[in-house]
Amino acid sequence: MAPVFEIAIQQIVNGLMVGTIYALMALGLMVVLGILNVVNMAQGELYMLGGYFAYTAVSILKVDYITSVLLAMIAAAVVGAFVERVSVRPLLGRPAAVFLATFGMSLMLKNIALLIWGPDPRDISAPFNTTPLVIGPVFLTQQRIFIFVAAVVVVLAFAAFLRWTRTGMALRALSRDKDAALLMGINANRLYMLSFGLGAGLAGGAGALLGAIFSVYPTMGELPLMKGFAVVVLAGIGSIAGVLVSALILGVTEGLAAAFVSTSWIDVVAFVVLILVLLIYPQGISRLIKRDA
Amino acid sequence: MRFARTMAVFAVSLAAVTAVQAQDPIKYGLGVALTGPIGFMGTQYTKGLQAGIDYVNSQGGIGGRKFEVIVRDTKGIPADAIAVAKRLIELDKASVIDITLPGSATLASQSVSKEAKIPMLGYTTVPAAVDQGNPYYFRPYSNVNIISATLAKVIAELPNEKRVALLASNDDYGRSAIQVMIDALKSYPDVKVVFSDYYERTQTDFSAIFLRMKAAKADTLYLDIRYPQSVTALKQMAEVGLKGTLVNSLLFYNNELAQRAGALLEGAYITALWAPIKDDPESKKFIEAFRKTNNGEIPDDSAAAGWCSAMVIADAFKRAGANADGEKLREALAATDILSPIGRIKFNQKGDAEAPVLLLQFKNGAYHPL
Repeated sequence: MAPVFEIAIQQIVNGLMVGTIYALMALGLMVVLGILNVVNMAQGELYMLGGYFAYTAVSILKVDYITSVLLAMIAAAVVGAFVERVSVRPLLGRPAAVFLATFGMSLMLKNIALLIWGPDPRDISAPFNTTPLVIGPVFLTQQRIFIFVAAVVVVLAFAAFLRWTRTGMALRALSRDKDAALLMGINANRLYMLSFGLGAGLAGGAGALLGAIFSVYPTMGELPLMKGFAVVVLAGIGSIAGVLVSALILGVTEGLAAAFVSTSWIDVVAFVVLILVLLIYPQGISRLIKRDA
Repeated sequence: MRFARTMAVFAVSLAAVTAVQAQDPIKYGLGVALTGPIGFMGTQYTKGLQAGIDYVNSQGGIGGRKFEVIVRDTKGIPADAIAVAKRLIELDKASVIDITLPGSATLASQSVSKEAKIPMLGYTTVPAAVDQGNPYYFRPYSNVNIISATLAKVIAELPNEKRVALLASNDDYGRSAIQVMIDALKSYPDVKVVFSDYYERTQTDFSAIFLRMKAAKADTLYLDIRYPQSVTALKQMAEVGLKGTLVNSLLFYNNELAQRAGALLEGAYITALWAPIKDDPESKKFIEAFRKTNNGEIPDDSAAAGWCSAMVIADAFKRAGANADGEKLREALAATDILSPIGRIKFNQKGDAEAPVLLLQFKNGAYHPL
């Protein structure tokens, strides 16, 4: 096989893996945006905290890596609920104030992480064999396969939660028609906190998964936040499948741009594609897919 | 009689105030990246500088005045570095400033030093640092031209096919590093540059780059990647099955990197400004003083650079006088000729010491001099 095709196949596979992580970030942002109409600028720091929680669980509590990811999701969800209670709920209905409050919270969380864990990067010890598996032209490691599978499982579990549980249905009802949902007796404050916690849990899970590959440091959430927003814009509000497809498109586009243009042009190429898609489908890819959230 | 007594009291008070002023410390204003991706280098540099200042004070200070450092964090952001430089000069009344790490911060803040006519140092190897038309800037360390010439010679002597891939950061430093390396390799006709590219400082996925290096059949890899990105990059290099002889500038001489990715560094050729394996008298003096103020910690090359900065400024003040103004201090700095852990420091007309570099190889989990 010609080297150019080998690189393309490898990068498509890599792009799909990165895309699933973007999907976790974007789902977290979308659930908060869809239900509270709030742009959560602290989502990147919840991702970062997920990495630190997993690191602490593995290195101090001595739990195994998979348990540490679950613990990181729960701990990040608790922090997310706290963020909602102190910086969002008192300001609801004032979008600019909420935006600034979550931005302030993002700075605060970053500095708290710096105080607790310091500026040096931390490694999450994961029990995977580092020797790559060679499948045709594609090199894969156990860790990357695990991350891909885990991210897909979390996305599917989240979709199932929204579709088939009473709380999920209540969240969807609140997202579609707040007044009607309130008239039906839905406790809005509880669900606001829950949606923030869910979003934070997804971000924390992403941070714990990727932190094991890229190490954990206080500013690690800045780039994934930007990518998460890009996916939400590309997908439009309202569809988990739309978010997943958009995230995979972004991941694969970036992978191919890195291989055939230059890694320094990744963001340019990815955002040109994003603009082109939005020119064709101004309301996002979700409009092409059945609404399910 | 009462008038004479009042005048005597006034004269005594004035003399006392003058004496106190004469005892005011000489302030060295350091703006450095203590946080952010290169915070660990800035921290080491600051420790080395502080050890140097403590050493000078332990020897009686400078002309009876204490030597003191004021440290402010620039986060490695050039815009913040400019603000810090102004603050150090205007509010902190520093007699000399030092805007260190990364090179872009040193470059950006030179206009502040030039305008205020305050001498400035800055730990960077970027060639352009001495080309800013600022007669107040001095670099007591090595530079990228010397580093590249050293590594180019290493590459030319390798027993492989010498198909070189170059990778550096997408900024002034990285672009100049690659250009200077390409120029240095032109002296060796049997060396072929088969790939060159740039990565973003925030980049975490290097696999596409390594796949392209592999497709280009590169067997010699010049990776100018900072820690901690270098750990990620080395792991991904192994993941895509890319093999080759690693050569690197200062960035791969790092004990943390050795601890976290030692096996992947095996065989790498690395340049360093200084290493604790040096046993000349100046290095021994530095190591002893550094360990005394840092709980026995072994210093690295960034700490050595900080120590040299303190020694260069202390020496210039001793020759120019403890109360020298910016211009006199600049003249004294231009005439510097001292021995230091990194070698002899003597500035050329551009204010560049062009200090030599050490060549090391990473073997069996440790750095060894060549």
